[in-house]
Amino acid sequence: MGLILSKAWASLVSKRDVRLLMVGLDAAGKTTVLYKLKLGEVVTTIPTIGFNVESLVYKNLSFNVWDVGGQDKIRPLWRHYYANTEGVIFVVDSSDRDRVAESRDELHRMLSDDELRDATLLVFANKRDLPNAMNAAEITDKLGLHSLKQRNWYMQSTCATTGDGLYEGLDWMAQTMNNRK
Amino acid sequence: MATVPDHRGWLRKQGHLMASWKQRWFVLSKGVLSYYENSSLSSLLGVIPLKGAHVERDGKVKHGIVVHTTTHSQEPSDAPRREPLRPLHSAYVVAAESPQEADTWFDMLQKHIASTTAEGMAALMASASLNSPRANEYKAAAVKEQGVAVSNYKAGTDEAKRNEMKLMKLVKEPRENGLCFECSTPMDFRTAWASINLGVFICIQCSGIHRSLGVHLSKVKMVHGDDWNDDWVAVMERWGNARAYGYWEALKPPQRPTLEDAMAQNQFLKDFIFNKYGGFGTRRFAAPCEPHEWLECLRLEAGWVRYLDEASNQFYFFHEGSGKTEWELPDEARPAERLADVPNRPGREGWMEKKSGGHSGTTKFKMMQKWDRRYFVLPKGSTVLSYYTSDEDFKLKLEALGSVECKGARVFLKGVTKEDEYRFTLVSKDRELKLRARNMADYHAWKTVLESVITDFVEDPSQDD
Repeated sequence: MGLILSKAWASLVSKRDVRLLMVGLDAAGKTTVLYKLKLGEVVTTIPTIGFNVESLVYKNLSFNVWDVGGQDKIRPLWRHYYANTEGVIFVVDSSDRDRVAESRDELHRMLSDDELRDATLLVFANKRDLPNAMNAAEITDKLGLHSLKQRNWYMQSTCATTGDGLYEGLDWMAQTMNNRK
Repeated sequence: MATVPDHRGWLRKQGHLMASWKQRWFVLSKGVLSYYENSSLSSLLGVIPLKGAHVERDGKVKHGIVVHTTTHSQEPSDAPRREPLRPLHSAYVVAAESPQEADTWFDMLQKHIASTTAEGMAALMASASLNSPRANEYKAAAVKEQGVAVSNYKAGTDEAKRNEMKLMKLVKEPRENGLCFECSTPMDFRTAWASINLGVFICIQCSGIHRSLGVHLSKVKMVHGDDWNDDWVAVMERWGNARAYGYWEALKPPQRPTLEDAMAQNQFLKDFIFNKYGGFGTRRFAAPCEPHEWLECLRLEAGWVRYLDEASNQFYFFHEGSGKTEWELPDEARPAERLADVPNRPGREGWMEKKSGGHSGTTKFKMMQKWDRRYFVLPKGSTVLSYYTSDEDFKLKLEALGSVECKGARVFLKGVTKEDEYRFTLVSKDRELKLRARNMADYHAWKTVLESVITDFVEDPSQDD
């Protein structure tokens, strides 16, 4: 009995650490997403050269979110963050129709890496408030998500500046992580 | 959506009643051909929607083209009509000056007619010439949104390398490219950023604001951190900061951001950039035409017209009356400086007294209310008025005791009330501030500054407490 109680207690208070990697093309809104989740406010960002890392405690999980810059020449550095990553948050600019194909290629290249074979994938279709933004179904299609076999993925359209959709996505991630342990 | 480029120029048009010829300024844009009395576009004479139309060369008229419209049907009659819209005729006969011009017009008319139907548009996009050597699937039809239409194919290693060399030079020369287009921060190849559809070099702080405009207004690239394709470099060469000032700040902004504004990424910097590129709806300082029009042909003073010589990428100046051509801008052609009509927010800080009483102003008993001396700060360019216990607190960057968003707020000017007080009340959505200035001069100074942020001023001499 005591053992059961202490286990239940432990599951209530202990926070499992989960490493999340947030990537996507430059100017998709990754840093804005990170700080909206961390601080609940919209910060004015500058392009990320290198990375930002913050921990978010959410639903008895402690997410360590790594937000890595997306310029052409620093994308090859993403792979250095793959080790021990349990979940990937891939951020796409819904209004950037020109570059959704480029997004798709980067996404699939990343997922083909062996170190990420078990990582779950959360896609944030960000900036959905901008004119001419694509909807979630269109982006799902254009990113070729339906072709992903064996991959646990979820698509969420978001607007990081208002926070719309962010917690829905994070809920899914938390639930997936909790089912996993 | 991809669009067919606009086309414009002089054509002779045959009258419908009298078969006489008149010079008209024609504008072909978004599947509609319009014609005006002259290129000032002040008097619109006719509008010809091209949906379902077809064009043919007119053999009887030298360099002639006939535009056949399908029906007399117009937009539904309840649709708002633009005033000088004349009844549609079934055919319009126009003539160009030269066979080349006639060819161009014919070609452009056909493209615009095709663009009015979905199938036609698809065919156009499929046949769009892919003029770059490494064009691949990324190269969609160029989308004209803001600034210049840019392609988006991925540069290969060689192309990126070659363009790196070009950019190294371009960031230094002309000199203006090495200073941020917004805040004049000095930059070099390693630190520079750029907007590839606007054709300007900017610093990293301003690039952060540019990115928040959205890619439909500004497409930001890192100069040495992104792989540049030939088209992007071409836009930077064609524009560059010096030239882009002419267009984007054709109307002089009352105040430009400084290095400090950029470092702080403050409200003033954001407002400036959003105002400039239409982030709030209108391009506040830009010339009243599209960027490419401004670049290609610009009417100046005293009969001078500036053209761009495509081969040398230099401007030249042509005098319509005399036919003279100059490479340097003649003094008489120089347009007068015009100021943009933009709220100038100078900001202010200083002591005032504030009536205590919580956010609504009524939560405390009137008996308990008293006047507290506070240090008020309305930063330059900002719309948020904050107050601190003292100026020391403000200088030490301590948290403000309170602040109020003045955008959309109202001010009740109480003026000189009892006991020689100089009072006003500021009411925003979520709170009320009762304020007392130290003296008449101070009262007027605050009033002037607040007027730059708030437009809703009400005289209210009532003495409510």
